Amino acid sequence: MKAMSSSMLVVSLALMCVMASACSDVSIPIETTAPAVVDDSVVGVPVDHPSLVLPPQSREVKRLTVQQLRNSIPIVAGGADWTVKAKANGPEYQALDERVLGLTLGHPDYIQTTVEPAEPTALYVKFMDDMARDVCAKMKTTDLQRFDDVDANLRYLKLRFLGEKVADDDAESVASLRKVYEAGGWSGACVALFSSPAFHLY
Amino acid sequence: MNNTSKNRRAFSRRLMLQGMGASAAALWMGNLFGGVARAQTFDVDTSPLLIVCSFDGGWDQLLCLDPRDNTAFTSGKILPSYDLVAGDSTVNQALIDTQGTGLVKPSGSNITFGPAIGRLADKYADVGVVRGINMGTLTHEVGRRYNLTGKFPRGLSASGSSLGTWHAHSTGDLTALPNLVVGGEAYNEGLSNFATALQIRQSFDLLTVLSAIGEPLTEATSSAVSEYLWSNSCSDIMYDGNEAVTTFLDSHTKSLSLASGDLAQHFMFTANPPPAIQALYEAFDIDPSRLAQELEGGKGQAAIAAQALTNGLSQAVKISLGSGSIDHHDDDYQTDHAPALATGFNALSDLIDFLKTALDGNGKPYWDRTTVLVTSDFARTPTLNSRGGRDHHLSSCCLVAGAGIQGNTVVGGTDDIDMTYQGVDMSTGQVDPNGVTLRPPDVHATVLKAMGLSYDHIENQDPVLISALLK
Repeated sequence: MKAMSSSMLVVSLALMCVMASACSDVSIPIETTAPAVVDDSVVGVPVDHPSLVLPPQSREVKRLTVQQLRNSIPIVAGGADWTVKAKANGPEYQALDERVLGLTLGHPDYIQTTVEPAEPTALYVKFMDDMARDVCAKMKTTDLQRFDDVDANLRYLKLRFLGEKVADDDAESVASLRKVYEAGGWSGACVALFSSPAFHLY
Repeated sequence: MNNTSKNRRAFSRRLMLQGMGASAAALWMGNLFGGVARAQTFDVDTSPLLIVCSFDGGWDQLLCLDPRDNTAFTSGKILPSYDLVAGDSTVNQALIDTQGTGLVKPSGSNITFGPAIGRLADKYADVGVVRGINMGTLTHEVGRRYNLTGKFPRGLSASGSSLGTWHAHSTGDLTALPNLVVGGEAYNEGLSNFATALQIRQSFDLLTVLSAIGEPLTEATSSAVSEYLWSNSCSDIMYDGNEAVTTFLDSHTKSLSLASGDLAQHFMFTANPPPAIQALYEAFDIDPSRLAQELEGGKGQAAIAAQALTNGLSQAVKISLGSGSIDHHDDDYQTDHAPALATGFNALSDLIDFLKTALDGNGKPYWDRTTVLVTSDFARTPTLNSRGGRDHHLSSCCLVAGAGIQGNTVVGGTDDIDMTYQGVDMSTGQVDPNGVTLRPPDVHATVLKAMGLSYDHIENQDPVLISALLK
């Protein structure tokens, strides 16, 4: 073991004293409520959100399970579902079926695996990107534009996909989504919403 | 707050003070423990590589790593009964070659293998065998997860991070998929996001991950979508308590790079493949006419590991060599167990050969910096049950091989009464009544030490290095 030099010891002890005083109940009163996060630069705050003083961050965030995805996608997409083909001209299969990609996406088989991963891994996100493009292409032909005003439609879509209600006069909250619309039309906006963490995490 | 920054952690006074405290502690601890906790820097051509192999369901140690003489143990609480599984060609040949004992010991080998070891016996100079490991459980999920993380699970739930995750976290974000897991579980408890395993079931999954499915977005749309995803919305901040949003967005960036590259070509396992894949089939004895079965078994998984490690896709790969579960309690033990073991060990032997001939960017064999760990949930009872199968047994074993490992070595043992684990002198590897009882964390620590990596994450398990296994 190397001997610790006296100067290093002094520096270490000084820093540890700072740490100790910072964490001490004497110098900082015990907080009875969780500390609020204040950030004025946050955009996209739903209209019915109480204020910009955000509640504590959740510590148990998970991604949707395969079963939750199977149930959610057709509802959000107005009946459209994610399908894949094994061959170019072959039949279409529901992609999230256990016999197709369900097990790959982590649905347990209860033989080798009994727990479904809760992390949004690269594999999960990659397949969700595939899902978004497939379902949105179908929605383009089946889903109607509900408002003439683009921002109004984007606000409606944020509520429909993400459950976030945006005020009528809040253009900032849909600004980045509007850029997607301008670049890729309604399909692009749909892909962005289906790819959003807010859709997949709860 | 910067909307485009990926590092969106608030820098509060408390965090700053915590950081200062941690710095002081690190400075102090660093002096106490020398290099153990010190981060190392690797690049893709120098990083240690890790292969973790499992035989899921619990292996019969008598058939592979902890055998007994079939002609001597004919009564009592240890019954090799190799004759019952001689329908397997590997076992049958071994019994012929060994005059019925079933004890396979190539000339020059210090290791005696069981009759289902197959071609891996010839690799005795590269491998070490650890016998008499106390698994502490007879429950599959517990044993499997204990082997994965080196920490005894909490109930059925895994504790800690998988060995591959720790390896990737320790060596760095050097490859497209630093931690690849084929057919199994993986865990990341508080380590880097990039180290989280990409879990696939089969080679086809890897192909789909590495290829974009369907009509791609235009570049402008794709760019706008990415900008939207990184727009730092209210919900992103609320959901990022355990960094789930950060992980999601990092995964999104990684998934785009995965699907846009040329890595998929290395996994185009088809019946009429390009020459490079055809050569792989030959190296792993894969029959293209029954490709689906071959790819799901040990051969296919070993081939995936070979491709992932030698094409810069991964630094750590976990595969299952047993072609599904080998939990043979019934008379399927007599027909299915030995073939599963032999196929798996042969595949591992082929993988070692492959890595010895494949050269990295420095012109050196990949094998020179590859370390292998092979485990199973636990062992099987040394006597047969009333259904002609074998049940679960505590005293298991494992195989380690490769870089940093002292080959041709046996450590520990089980007794000749009922195969109970024995104490071990860790410096000599010999059975010692006053020695240490071997456990999975000892093996994990030893494997990591062999690779030159720390094992800080399992320090609370009080691991003891098996120095007899280290070069």
